[in-house]
Amino acid sequence: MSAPHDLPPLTAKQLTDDVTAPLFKLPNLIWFHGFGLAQMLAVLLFVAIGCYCVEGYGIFGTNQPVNWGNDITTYIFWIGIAVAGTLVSAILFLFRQKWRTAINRSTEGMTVMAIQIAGLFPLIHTGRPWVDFWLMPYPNDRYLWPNFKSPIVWDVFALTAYALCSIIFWYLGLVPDFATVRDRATRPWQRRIYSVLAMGWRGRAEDWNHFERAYAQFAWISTPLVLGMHSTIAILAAVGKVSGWHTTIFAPYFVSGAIFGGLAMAIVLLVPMRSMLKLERYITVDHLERLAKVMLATGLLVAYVYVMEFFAAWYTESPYEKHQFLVFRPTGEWAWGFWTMMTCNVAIPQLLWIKAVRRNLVALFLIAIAVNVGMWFERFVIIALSVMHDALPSTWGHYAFTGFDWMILAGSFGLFFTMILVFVRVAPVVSIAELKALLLRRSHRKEEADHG
Amino acid sequence: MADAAPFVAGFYLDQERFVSACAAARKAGHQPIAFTPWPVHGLEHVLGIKRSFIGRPVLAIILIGFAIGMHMEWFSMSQNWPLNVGGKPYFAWPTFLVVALETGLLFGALTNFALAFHTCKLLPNPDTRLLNDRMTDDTFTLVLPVRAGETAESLSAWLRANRCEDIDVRGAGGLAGAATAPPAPSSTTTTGEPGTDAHRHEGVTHG
Repeated sequence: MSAPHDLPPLTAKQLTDDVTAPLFKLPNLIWFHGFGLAQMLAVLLFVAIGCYCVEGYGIFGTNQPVNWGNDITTYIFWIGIAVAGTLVSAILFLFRQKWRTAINRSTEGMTVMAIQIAGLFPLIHTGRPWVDFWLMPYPNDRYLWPNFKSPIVWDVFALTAYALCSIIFWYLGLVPDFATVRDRATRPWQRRIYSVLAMGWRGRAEDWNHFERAYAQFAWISTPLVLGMHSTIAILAAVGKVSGWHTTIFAPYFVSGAIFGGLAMAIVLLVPMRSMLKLERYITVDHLERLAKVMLATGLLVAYVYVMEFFAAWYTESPYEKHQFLVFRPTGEWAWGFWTMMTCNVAIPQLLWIKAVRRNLVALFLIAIAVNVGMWFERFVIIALSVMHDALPSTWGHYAFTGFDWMILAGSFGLFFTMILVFVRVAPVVSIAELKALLLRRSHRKEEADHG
Repeated sequence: MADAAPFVAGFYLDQERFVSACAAARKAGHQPIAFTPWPVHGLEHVLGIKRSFIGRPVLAIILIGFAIGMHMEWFSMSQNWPLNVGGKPYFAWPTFLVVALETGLLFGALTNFALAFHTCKLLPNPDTRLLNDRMTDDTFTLVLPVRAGETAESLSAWLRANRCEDIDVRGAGGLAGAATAPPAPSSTTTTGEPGTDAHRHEGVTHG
């Protein structure tokens, strides 16, 4: 983690000042514009949900046989975004990747926001959202239990457990930093709010001892939760006897795809955030470059699976698989979606082999946006195209977005960015205590080395 | 809280000095309570703090949660309303593993969270005031309780001898406010009033 040379030497106070500064002053005009735009988009989501509750599920483009369309595609897209945040906060923690410290708070924030938005879509998809509580097992006079042999029910449990765990993991990590903000707040109301959020944290040595153990344990718990959660979604599709879904490679495929797309979203957030909040010193180009490397690696895994799917379709000699992979996807009515996916997920990320591209933030930002687009289309191609042309040609159908589909898709982005923009104003986006422990120990060692 | 046992707090800006002082305090037979703005690895050995106990309870709860999840599935699918799904056995345990595992991990996560809050004595308190606002920023604090046979002055002298940069004396009647340490040359912080309200020094009253 190299720091720019024209900055004063890093001290704990300097780090606190830099990270907490955005919390104590009015946001700039760019923030207000972004927030306004995001809110306008978010309104579309709520309007669409309102119309849907009144009119019913028919307002969306989903039909027979394409009964999984935009809503499930977008659901899996947002789940994927969430997965990458947990990769940084939990899995890289377990691998002792200390560089994660500068970005784990913001990527965890991304997880928490994305998982909440993802959770909306299955609730919309049920068709009668006012009885969604039936998804939970509870004793009732109708003797209705969820069917625990169904992967759809596994998904309910996996998502609920993962969402709750992510939120409390995030909050636990925030407690010492809220205490730092509390003790710097000058306005009484602000001090009271952060006092409540910091839960009276004092930083006693014994407290840190328990805190760090709990934090590490959260990483251990989150890792199987996140891998299990996305594998469950993959299995949910893979157990269906639908050409395009029925493959054993789905679980690792989905997990690597999720990390690929999620890290792209992390880059989309971090590049503007670090300059808007003036955190270039902490979220450095080196960090973004490492994210780009992980993105490239997972992107190659995804590309490998694309190739394997073609190979498997040819090798199995199943006419339905061959039609799905070799004919319908590359040449059918949604071929442009398929080729968009291929371009954005396979071709464009190869630019990341070049160091100069990885370190050019504009290029990195644009590549990350392309990957996000590609990953949405990947889910769409898998989900919707497979059911559009299944193993029964007489039932083949078509799919088209309606205006309400656009509204929930754009609205989900609006809600996500609204929450992210609020988050960067109310919570430290860099883990202050963790980063101090890392950076100041390093600078101390360096000083010792310099002085012989 | 106002009647809390008297104590002397020494403030440090330098981590190494602080850790040395903690070691010296323990060696000298004081009962030091240390506050740090970030986790200082190795301090637990210096202070003789045992490894946190919260691992095994969490593991136990994960296993219990797994058993509860599996029991719930067994009861609902094979006892309460047996339903033939695709010819699978009523108690098809391999298909029940995912929900049982997720239930166990969720229980474990919630327990981990609750235990972390319990062991760190975390409760929402809108009026939290530490001894010094920079205890959560860049200042390390070594608190020495005044015990029988000791005086605040003797402990202050001990802290000064151990290179602390500022001193605060609390809870000893007329001694409160007798922060007598001379400003240390290297000190850039903790000047002024290190904690303004003797009635609200959460920094130690729970410690």
